[in-house]
Amino acid sequence: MTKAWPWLLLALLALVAVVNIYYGGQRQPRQLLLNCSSELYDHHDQQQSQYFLLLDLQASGHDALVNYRYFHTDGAPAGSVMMHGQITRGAAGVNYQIAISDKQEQLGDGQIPEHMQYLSYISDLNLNNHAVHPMTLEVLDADDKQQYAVVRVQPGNGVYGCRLQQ
Amino acid sequence: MAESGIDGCCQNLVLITEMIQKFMLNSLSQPQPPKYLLGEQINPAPRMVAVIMLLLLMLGVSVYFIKKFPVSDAILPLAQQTVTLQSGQSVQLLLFANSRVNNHLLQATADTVSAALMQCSKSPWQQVYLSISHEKQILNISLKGERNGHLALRNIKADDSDRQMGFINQQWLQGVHLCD
Repeated sequence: MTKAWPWLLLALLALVAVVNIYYGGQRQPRQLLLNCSSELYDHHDQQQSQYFLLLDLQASGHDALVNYRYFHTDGAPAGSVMMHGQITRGAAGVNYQIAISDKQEQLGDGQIPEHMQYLSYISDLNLNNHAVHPMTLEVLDADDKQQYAVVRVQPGNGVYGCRLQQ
Repeated sequence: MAESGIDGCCQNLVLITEMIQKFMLNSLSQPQPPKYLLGEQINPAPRMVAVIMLLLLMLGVSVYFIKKFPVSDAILPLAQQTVTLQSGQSVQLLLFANSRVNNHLLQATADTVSAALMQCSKSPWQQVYLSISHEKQILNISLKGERNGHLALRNIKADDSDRQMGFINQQWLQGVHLCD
């Protein structure tokens, strides 16, 4: 009975060590690259205007770059919002939290898309009041082999189907 | 055959009874407790420490595993429905909302989208993700499927700052070629 003690202890320690080695690395934020292209349709006074939105998320280690670029249908830039922040992976490894600490905005030609106006407004509000704009990237569906991820971005509750490169 | 069988059984019974009697006699004549019990009575402290240590270790390991493998924080759709196209192909419609309440607009929009999908003779889309951005009333439609054996993705975001999704109807969805 007494002789079994060290072995039991050793077995438990070995189990913890093995689990740590196998799954420890998975929690670290890896290289992550998401490219999401979207069609934007704005409605004003029975009029519809169309834009394109390219959302890119680039993360390496803890640094994240979130870039929203808006284009007119002829390819001319309609504006952009580029944000920098720190990315952390959620406990279960499904979601990502991005704490945006600064952003750069550029205006394009013509009208600003509604989507950009909202993004600019909400990030201004958070950065001015709290010095940080918290974003969440929730992975709804993803496949490394097929290289896609369907994500939901908060704030805004917007869903995006994206090309995924890891 | 039958007799020898009964004999065998009775012989066994006799043997067992003798063994029990011997055991009882022995234990009556030697009423001392076994040695290890005696040892415990003399000094129970080290054993108690060991038991407490084992319990603490088990607690630690449990906490470690719970931290390591938390219950999945996967986002579940508010609702999902399956639309069957004219070709018999089925398309999954997934609705995502921030809260479980006050999603009439999302539900109504989902009905419009599913009705529009039903008009498609065929479509590359297998999954359709729907959500509404609350503050600005932007409708998000993300489509995922397969075209010529390759993955196909499409995102549509429609904004209506004047009316709540008033523009969303069959005609508009056909205008943006939802089927393709």
